[in-house]
Amino acid sequence: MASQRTNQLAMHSGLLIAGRAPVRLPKGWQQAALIASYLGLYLLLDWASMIYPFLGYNITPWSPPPGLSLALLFVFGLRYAPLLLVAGLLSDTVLRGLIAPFHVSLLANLANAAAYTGIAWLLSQPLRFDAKLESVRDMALLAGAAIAGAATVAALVVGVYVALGALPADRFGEATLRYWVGDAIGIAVTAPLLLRLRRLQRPAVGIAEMIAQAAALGACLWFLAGVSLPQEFKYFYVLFAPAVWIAVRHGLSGAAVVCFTSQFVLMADAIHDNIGATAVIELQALMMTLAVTVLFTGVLVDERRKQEAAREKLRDEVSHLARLSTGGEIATGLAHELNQPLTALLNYVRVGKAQLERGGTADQVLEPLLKAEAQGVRAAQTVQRLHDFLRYGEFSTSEFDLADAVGEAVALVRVAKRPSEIPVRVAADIAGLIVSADRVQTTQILVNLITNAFESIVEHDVKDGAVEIAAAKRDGQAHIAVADTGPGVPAEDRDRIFDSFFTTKTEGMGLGLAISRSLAEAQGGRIWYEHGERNRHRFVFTLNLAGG
Amino acid sequence: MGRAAVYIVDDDAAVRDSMAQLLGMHGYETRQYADAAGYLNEAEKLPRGCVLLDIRMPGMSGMELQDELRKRGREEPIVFVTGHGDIGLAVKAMKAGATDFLQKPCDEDELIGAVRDALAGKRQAQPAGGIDEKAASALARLTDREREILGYVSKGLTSKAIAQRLGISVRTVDIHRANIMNKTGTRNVVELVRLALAGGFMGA
Repeated sequence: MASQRTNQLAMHSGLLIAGRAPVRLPKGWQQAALIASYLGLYLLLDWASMIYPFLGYNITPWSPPPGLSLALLFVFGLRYAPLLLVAGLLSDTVLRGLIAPFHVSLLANLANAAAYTGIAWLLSQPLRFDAKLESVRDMALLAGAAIAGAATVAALVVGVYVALGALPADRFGEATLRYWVGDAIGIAVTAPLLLRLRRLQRPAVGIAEMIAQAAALGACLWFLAGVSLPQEFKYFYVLFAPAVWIAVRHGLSGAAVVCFTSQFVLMADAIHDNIGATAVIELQALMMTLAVTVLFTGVLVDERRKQEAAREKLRDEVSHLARLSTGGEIATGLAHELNQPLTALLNYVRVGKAQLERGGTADQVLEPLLKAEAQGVRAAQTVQRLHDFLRYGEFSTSEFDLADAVGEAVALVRVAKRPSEIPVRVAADIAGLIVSADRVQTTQILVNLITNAFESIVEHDVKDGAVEIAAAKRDGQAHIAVADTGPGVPAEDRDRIFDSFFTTKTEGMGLGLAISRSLAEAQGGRIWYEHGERNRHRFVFTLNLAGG
Repeated sequence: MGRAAVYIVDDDAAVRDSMAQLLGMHGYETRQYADAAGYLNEAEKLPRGCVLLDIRMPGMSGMELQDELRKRGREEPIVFVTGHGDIGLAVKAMKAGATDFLQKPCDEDELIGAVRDALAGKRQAQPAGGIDEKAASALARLTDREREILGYVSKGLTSKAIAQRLGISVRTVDIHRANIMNKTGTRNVVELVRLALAGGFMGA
């Protein structure tokens, strides 16, 4: 537990200092590095955002430091709360040269630190806020802290200034509005980025798309920075297009980067053009709508991706369970299947032994030994095939010859359904058809279809029953068809055969075709049933061709 | 008369070939057949010998070949070779007059012994009468429950199936089976069933 905490500290101080790979420091040093990083970053952000201070106080329409402070408390705990006071005082002293008397600055910063600590406590304790920001609920809590929390803090701190006579009472509303807007947007834009910094992943989109996204965002910001005031408000909406695009493709991490970048560029432009405090507040209101839209979009995308990943995992697990169940049937046949090579192997070894005992020539001894070896290999292959089939693996695409998967599937079904004289005719042109798919799951689809074909032939006592497997390239995909000479699926059942738990067999759970469908679709293919006269009906599924 | 002949009927080429080589080392003349029909076609012309017959084969099974040979009035000794879990079939074959049966993979001495006995006209089971006294006295030491379970084992039932029938746990069945083997001095289920047949346990 303790070392986990230390690692976390090292990770964060590393990131905060230089954004480099985490460096392992002794525990005391790590803490010192964290404190120094926080204070340094606080001063930097406060200095950069020191625009339109209300009567010279630290009341600005853009104030990212509270976002940094909340991130600190969420990630490292409330015990760092005193740092908020230290940072505020340091900032007032260093950046603003203590324009108010020290006790005013002290009390105002105390109120600020206490209020944000209270908000952090409220979120993390009774409300169980998760700083990983993985759900809409957590995002909503953070947005609530930004909007409602900042309003409370603003009223409180401005109230302190007014009460101590540092601000005229009639300017209370105006000062509170500016404070509120600055802190709210500061939290909304800064906290998500900082909370996501430690969980940055390799982007899921290609480099070309990322360049296009950056170019689109840059162009919009450049355009907004170029136009003068009323137009900048009027055309603010163009920013939504690249922002939503990035949020949809990158999730919250992308959304946070977009918000922070946009905010920074627009504020730099506001300072450069000197647009005035009122205009900045209006711009920040627009910025807030952008931030809320984009951040929630990002979280929704993350949530959906997480659900998709969970569903994929579930599918892998279900298909694995189904393989195990098929495997149970195969295992029964396996003992028999292994007996053949083992019997032959033992016999050959005994022959070799007997040859040695009676002084046979080297060739006379070697010949049965070589045959024994071949039988050992045969037994090992049987076991290996089953082992490969039963292994749990996450979905992984590879390129393989379809004929190999068909061969494995036929061998597996033969073991499970022994003794079976039903011939399986595999079209010659399957060999050399290279597909790009998950090999085990492709085998599983084939095992399911061939098993069904066998069972249909046996159940309906079809004379000269046979199974035919053919494949063709069509529309850039491989179409694989498994046909049998049984009666096929009755018309009334055809709509339901791919449903889970639908079965016409006396044994079985009715999962084979449902799983086959989910496996085919997972590899970008489809599966369907084509009915025809005797021997003209078949199950067909598609797979991607290699290099296609 | 040349060497004694063994006709090997098995659908697995490697099993057939290795059996033939091994029996060859022990001085037997062998011929191999990949299916029952192949042997049946030639049976009339072959010198007298013993048939080493795989019980499960595609096409005509070992049991069906046995029936067909008996129908034609042929009486060559048949030693069945069974796979795992075919005890029920093997017992049926014995009752139908087979000389002996072996389980794959079989012991060399057992194989040679079974072939030698078969060619010498000895029968392991005596469904028509004559009971092996030694086997019978071994079986007499079993309790009623053990005899009941032996009956099911001889029909080819698994421990799980027996447990279900008797409404007891699989573990209890396994303990009974172990006791039965101890009392009769048998090492595996094939030996046990052979003993049961020899002792007239399943004569009826």
